[in-house]
Amino acid sequence: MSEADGYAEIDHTADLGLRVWADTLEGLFHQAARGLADLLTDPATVVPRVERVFELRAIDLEELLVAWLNEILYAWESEDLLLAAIREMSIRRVGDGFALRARAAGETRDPARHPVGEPVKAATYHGLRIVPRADGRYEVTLIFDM
Amino acid sequence: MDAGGEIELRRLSDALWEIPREGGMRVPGRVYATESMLAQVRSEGGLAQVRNVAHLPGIVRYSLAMPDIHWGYGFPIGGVAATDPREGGVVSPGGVGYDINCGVRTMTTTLATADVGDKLERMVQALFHFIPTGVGSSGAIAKVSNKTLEEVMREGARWAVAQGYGSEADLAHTEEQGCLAGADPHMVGERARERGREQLGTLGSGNHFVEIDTVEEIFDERAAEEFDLRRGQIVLQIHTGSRGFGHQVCDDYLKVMARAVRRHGIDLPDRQLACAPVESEEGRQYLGAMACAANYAWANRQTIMALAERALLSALGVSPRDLGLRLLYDVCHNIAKLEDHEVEGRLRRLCVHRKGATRAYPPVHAPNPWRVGQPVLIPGDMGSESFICVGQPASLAATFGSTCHGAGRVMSRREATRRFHGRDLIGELRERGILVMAKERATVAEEMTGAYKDVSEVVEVVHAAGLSLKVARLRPLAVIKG
Repeated sequence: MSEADGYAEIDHTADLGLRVWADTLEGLFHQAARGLADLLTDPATVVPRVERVFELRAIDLEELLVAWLNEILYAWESEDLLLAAIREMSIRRVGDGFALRARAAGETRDPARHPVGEPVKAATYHGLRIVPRADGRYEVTLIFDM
Repeated sequence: MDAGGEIELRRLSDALWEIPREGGMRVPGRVYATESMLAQVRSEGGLAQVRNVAHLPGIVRYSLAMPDIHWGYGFPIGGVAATDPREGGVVSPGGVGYDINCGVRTMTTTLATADVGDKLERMVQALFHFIPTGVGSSGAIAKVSNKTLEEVMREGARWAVAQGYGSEADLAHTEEQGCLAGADPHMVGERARERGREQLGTLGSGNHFVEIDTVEEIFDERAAEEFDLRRGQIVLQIHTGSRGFGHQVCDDYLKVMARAVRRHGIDLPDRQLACAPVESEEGRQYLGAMACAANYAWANRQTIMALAERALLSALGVSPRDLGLRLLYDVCHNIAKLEDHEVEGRLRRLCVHRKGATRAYPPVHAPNPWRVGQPVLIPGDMGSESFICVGQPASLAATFGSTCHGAGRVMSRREATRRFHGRDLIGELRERGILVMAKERATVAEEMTGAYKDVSEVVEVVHAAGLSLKVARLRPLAVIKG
């Protein structure tokens, strides 16, 4: 992750989206997860008490990114677990697809400390294309189902 | 994303437009909308989506959009597309949506609005207490076992009735009798099951609600009589779907379909349209899983209806006979179904996708028991009116038996939140005679009137087109939301 990596919320009639940019693929996946956490609550209020390890596979990078974000949403929906700190991110090619390994940390939601954010239900593939730009950097637009 | 600013439209009548076939489109597009609605639809990319859907293999006649059209994932919301499986026709999870069998059920009561008066507050509190709401809400029914969940997947609303939620008579008043054929629990993954076990009998968040309405106006006396609707009557509406279960099925099958698109060599303008031939392994798997989620949604609405009845009985301290709660009808507005439709004089079995569109069968069209036609339930946004309509023959001829489903969002959630910032919306609604209880106050701003098209304009378009006719208009008195 470098200084030049980041994310910004974008407005969309039907739903909410994020524009995410980074120097590397790993940075892109890292920022996308941070951006999602920022939609769910204020990440600054989340103390990294528990850690989860994720190992995912996909046929392409778009599917890998959607799968990764939906893992974070699943932890939130099924366990009230807010994963806001991304501690490790590696992405590599395997066979004719891609594999991701990540570690993410956070804590169970405490209504007293964690502000209620957006009722995000899923990351979608809408308009999603992950290709390096001419300068080698990445930038994507992500739309979430609400 | 292509905003569709360049898309050519030909006017066919006052509120019907055609997008001529071009490039990879297999059929033309057709949009039901007034001229003033079109500008908004065009600017947000809805027309481009109608055009994209026209690329689906096996699509028959038109890629259609109802007047509540707004941007969706792949398919627009308000989109209708039928494919012919015998001509390589596909099924697309994007043509159904994440919330499989999201739908509406409306119940009549024998209560008059004048009887309710000061008891409304108690009624809405009881509804809020009896019906779990919110994003991951659970707990109405204790977490069910895997075996029970499979019964829900196979039996739908019938399962809920067998558990004592409502009665057998409700099933005849539910689209598909509350159970879509072909459900195959083997096609549903572990994570969907995990989410499904927790959330049965829960309302969820976003635009889902339970609402107490009063019948404000009757447009069609004959249909109103058959639907048991009269002015000043209290009716209830429930709007929810298959919760996390349906979402997970959709997400799982978007992956399956991405592979299927490669395997079957299907060329698509948008990845979210990923699909597979109905008569392929992937197509059959998705339809089997989708039917499970559809049945889950019907069990969910059936259960919530019974919880709502219990809530009202408790709040009012009356007997079931005094409340007289009866199911008018339950429609799904996110679904793909195999239906028989006449195309060019020939009856063909088609896979009809309705994404934010409602079936609107005319009188005596099987399996519809009504002499006047099938009830069509069109809820407005929070704080605005809703409509009960009736399906008409023109829908079979023009839209594969479909009409609109609601208002259609015109303002983003953020814009709504900004615009209503600092205002006491719940207080303002109360001044207008509408009680709102919401688990999250933010939801109220996002779902506020003004964030949606005017539902009455939407209903007028389909009324004028003869797809469905207005029967009654409902005014909200109280709403509970996630």
